[in-house]
Amino acid sequence: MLIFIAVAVGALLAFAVDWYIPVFLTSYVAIIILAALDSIFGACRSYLEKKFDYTIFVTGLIGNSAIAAFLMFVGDRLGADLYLAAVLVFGTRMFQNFASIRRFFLNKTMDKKHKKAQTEEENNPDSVKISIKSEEN
Amino acid sequence: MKNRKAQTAIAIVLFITSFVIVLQFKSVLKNSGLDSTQLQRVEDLQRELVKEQEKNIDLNRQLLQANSTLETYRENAQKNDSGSKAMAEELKNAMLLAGLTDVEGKGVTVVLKDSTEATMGGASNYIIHDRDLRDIVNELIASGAEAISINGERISGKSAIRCVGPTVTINNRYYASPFTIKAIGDPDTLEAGLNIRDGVVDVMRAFKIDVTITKSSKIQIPKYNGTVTFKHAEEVKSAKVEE
Repeated sequence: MLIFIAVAVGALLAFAVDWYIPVFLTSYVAIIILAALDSIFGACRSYLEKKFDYTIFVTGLIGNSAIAAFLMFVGDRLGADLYLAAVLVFGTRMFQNFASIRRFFLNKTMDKKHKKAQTEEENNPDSVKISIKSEEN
Repeated sequence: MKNRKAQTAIAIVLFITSFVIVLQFKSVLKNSGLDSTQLQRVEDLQRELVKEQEKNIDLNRQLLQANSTLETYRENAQKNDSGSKAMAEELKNAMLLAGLTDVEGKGVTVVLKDSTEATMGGASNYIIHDRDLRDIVNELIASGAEAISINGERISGKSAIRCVGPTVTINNRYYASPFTIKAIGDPDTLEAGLNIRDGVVDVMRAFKIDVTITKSSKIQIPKYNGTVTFKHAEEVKSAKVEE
């Protein structure tokens, strides 16, 4: 709940203020946004797995953003798109984290169904046993 | 309690992220599709242009230097050989005719400005074209002008007045409205020539182009600022030229 409010308020505030990001900074901001999204996905995952650590979250967020911006800067100077490294890592990890989150919820619903099936079975011994195999991969 | 703290931390970061995302979105929209790489390209081109302009200035300076050296040689040649005085006089006339010397005398100044009136039937009729300038130059020469310049560009025997997009090139340099045309000659004749009924100025005024003609007792016209080289034309050595 708090999370949705935060997103809504942030977006509305950004629409309300009359600030613009200077053109030369937009590419940096884009990569930092990616780093932040990666951190948020990671945090959601660890939160669901009950392993969330405040310090790891904050240091990871700041450190990742800094390295991504640094890569962007150096890449600009060297004429090579070094920021692609950051995009690749963040992107891959975001999908992995999303996969973990998805599996977490899927397992939950599967368990529920499983239990339901079990109770039904107990009530109705004649019915065919429904086996639900949880996703392995 | 720990849950609460974690949620708050994520919420704060999400708040900042969503704020920045929307800000970024707005900024990118405002830059109307120009991403930073394109902008960099523009910057590169600008840098190149400045470099070329500097080169141009440098070359112009070299040209001026060469011209002044040539001038010194001519003066020296005149001094050394008293018998060539007639030739020097001839050279002076030739240079005057070719527009290679600064000249002054009485004449007229014509200032042309694009029409500011609301346009009807095509804006093209209401702005000054290369052909308008050519018409005026032609009329001035017909009325006995001895030297003509447009925006400081001396009209010589090798000057071209051409239309290049929204600008006009004179002696291969770009100019745009307003145009100041100076002509040395008899002021009354020149003015009369321009003001002939249904003549060049009359037509322009019909299209509301702002034409101002001022007579003046002293007009200065600079020399042709460029090199005159002949690659193909050669002097005919035989006595008579077939016509």
